[in-house]
Amino acid sequence: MQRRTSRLLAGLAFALAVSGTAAAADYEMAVTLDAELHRLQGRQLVRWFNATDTATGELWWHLYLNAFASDDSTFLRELGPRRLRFGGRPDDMRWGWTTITRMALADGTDLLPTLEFMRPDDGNLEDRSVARVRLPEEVPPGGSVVVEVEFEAQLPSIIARTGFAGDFHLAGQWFPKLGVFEGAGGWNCHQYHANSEFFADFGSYRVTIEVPRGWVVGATGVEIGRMEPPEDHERGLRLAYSAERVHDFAWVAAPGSAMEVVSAEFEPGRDVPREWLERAVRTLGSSAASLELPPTRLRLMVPRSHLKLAERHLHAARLGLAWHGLWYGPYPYPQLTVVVPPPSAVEAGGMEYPTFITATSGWASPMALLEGRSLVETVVIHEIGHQYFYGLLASNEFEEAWLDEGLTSFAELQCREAIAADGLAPALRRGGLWTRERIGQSLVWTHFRIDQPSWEFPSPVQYYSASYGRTALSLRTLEGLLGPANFARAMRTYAERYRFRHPTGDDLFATFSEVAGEDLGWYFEQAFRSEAEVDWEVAEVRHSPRPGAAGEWSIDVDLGRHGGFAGPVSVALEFEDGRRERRSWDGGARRTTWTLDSAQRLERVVVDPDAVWALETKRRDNYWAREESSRAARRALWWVPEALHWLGLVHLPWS
Amino acid sequence: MAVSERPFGPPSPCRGARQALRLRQLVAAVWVASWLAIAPVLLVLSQTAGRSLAAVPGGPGEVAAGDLPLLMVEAVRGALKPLAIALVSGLAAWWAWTVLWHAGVVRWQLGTGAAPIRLGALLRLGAGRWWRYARLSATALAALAVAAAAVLAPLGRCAVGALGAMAERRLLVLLGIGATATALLAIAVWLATLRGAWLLGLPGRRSAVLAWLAGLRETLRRPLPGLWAWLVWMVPALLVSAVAPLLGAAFVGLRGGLLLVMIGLLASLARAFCWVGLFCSFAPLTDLVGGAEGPLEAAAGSPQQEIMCAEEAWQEEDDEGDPPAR
Repeated sequence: MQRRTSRLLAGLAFALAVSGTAAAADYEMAVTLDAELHRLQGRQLVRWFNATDTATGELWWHLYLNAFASDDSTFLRELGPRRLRFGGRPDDMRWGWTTITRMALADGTDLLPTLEFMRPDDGNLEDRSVARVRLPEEVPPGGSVVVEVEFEAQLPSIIARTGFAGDFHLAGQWFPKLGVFEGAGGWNCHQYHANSEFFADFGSYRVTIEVPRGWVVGATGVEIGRMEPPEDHERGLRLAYSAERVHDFAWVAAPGSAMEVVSAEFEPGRDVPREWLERAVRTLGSSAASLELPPTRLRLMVPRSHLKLAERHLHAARLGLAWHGLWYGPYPYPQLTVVVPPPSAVEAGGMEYPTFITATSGWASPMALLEGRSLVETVVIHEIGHQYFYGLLASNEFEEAWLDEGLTSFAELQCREAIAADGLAPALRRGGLWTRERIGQSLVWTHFRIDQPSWEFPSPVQYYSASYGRTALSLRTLEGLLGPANFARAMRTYAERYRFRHPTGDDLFATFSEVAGEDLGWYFEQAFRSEAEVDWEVAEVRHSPRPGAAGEWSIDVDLGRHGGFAGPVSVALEFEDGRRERRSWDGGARRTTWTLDSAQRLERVVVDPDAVWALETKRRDNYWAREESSRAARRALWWVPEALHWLGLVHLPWS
Repeated sequence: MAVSERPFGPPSPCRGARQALRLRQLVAAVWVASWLAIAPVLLVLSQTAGRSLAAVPGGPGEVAAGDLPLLMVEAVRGALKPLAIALVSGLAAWWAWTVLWHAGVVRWQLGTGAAPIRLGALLRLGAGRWWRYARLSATALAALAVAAAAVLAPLGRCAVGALGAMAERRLLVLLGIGATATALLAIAVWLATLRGAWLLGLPGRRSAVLAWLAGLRETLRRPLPGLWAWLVWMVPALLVSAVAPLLGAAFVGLRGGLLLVMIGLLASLARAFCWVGLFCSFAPLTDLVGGAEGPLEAAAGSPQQEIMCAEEAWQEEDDEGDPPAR
């Protein structure tokens, strides 16, 4: 069997060498799951193409599973003692690791003796999530190299997007994976951090997975072959998968008795809401034909006990594909696999891999406390967003996490608002999502810069706040400043231009400036690369009779900004006769005074009356009124007495 | 003084309603107290929110989308400590008040045969036994905690096992059992406490723990009448409590308006009536003074004699307060 496998690998090596694909990293892999030990035996042929103008004599590899090898890894140190992403670590936590047992060039040159663990980010000698090997010869610009690797990988107890829980196995980041060579900048291959995700080159993947008989598998790409051994045969079920132009490969395996596979379709003619298409046509200024979407196969893997949720997951997937397809371009792959992990594997939920997402069963997740029943749909829509902002626009998640999480959060909130407004999903009928996002941000009391490496955030709260909510609100603010049409066109241009590439924040900023026809650097620098806070105020309004003009008033309106964030803002003036006027303030100075002459006194002044600056969370001093009133307070507090009376019920059973 | 607990008879919502109607002053006091208990929180909130929203237009649709909740959060953020103090003190006061009138009603009914009484006298009666009834409340709380732990801990262990074995169906069943068991426990403790409160009023009873246990025994022995009485009062209480929130949620224009305030006031009055009615539903079958068959009479001779005995007993054992006023 060993010899047969070697012949197969040699054949694959040749095929890869002559394939001439333009992709930067192609992987041919064969992996066997030992379900008892939760261990993988793998072989891979990796062809790496140097697409830069710089030669290199090194290959840098991610060995992500080594992040779970001990409490001393950088990932677990940063995560904190005895913690998972969602809650506490079980007492019987099993460690995970990857061991490379062989690494050689196609000509047999052994690279393993040159393997060295690298710690480019923190110098932590106990961290083994990155390794480097030296090549006997440099790979020149335009050149390529084929490497044969054999490895053993132990899946950990489910943690942070990978591992096993009972018989459920999520193999994420399970194989030695090349970093990204950036030419003169060298290899971009960061250690695995608690607050970071991934970064890799696009390529083609051919993967054969062997699992016990009777198991079901879901994976990146599409299934292209299946070999069911006879009953008395020692081998298990073998499945072959293929994925083109992706930058990762993940799969899930579980007994067929526990998980059900449901096949469905995203059929654009049926599944794209007409009002969404009309809105996209109107806003983007495109024809309906140019926004046409291709059909997509949906493959849902769901615990049998959660089958009743299947239709909700599929409906959310269809809406997610429709929304993102209309606004950010068609989903280019033939299939999307959606995996609903069992409740015992909460850590596996809510994760994106190319053409493969994990959802959630809702009630078992701590997030359910926040999102309630809508979590099922919310997670699916969010992860489909990542098929764009991560999958197709493969930004560096280590260094610019906001580019994938923030843009995805923005798209998710827009999509959910549209679903709520159009009544397209019963569980998502509540709108006001942007308000909730702003309230969430208002509870984060510290200021921080969004655009910084994920591992440099002092706390997970800041990382999540910056990368998700604050980025989404920054984009929402920009949408308000540019107008929906300009903003939508800029996002569309960015999403189309950088598809299958590695865009950076600068690329996003430049695209927006180009489409808007003005330099928006002032906005992006403040929103993403500073700690500046948005905080406008009506400082004071003074009325004085105009000398020599009976019945006329001279009115001074003092406007100011407490925050460092400067930009144009609208101001609403309402006079006592009901007349309303809108003016604009450039917001450049910390303070400005407008002097008005009017026969009517000002009744009310509001800075940013439409809440365009969604980033602003301190709104109290945005309002000024000549006569203060308790009416708004009464309206805001109407529910409080009733809520308190209900709260009083809690001690009735025991008093 | 050995007094049988059996003659109490089954709880009767009708009896509770009659007594609640007789105790109109108490109902009014419970109603007012329910507002006084939340008054500190309302005061703090209305002050902070009033400051934050003073310049904000009050009409629906006049404020930028999302500004009202954001301004509320801003207001609450600035007053977290006083709000917490107001909330905790309000809850504590509401609990102390409930214990007080429970004690007063029991002592009034068992001691005077439910003769007409003014609110002040009733509360003085309750004050004399407040500590004893506070102990009963503490017993009930401890029992609730112990019972919940006893039921939920093994369920939790089974749930962890089910999680590990990926047995979601079993897990769902366990969660269902846990939720149902918790609700049933709370109701059982509630019923036991109601019965225990009346048993603790008997002259021979001084131990709150034993009274509560006797109440529990009685509840378990005949659960349905107690449950029926509880449902008869709780369902309307909860329904009237839901009217104002539902109307406010459905009709934005009503929020902060007089109509909703009035509905809230009426609902809380109805709720106060329900609380008094519920408590009195667990009282003895008949009045002692009225001459009909009563619980003490059956055990110790004529009603008048029994009242005398009860009064004497109270005076003898009264180390916690005044004897009942006649």
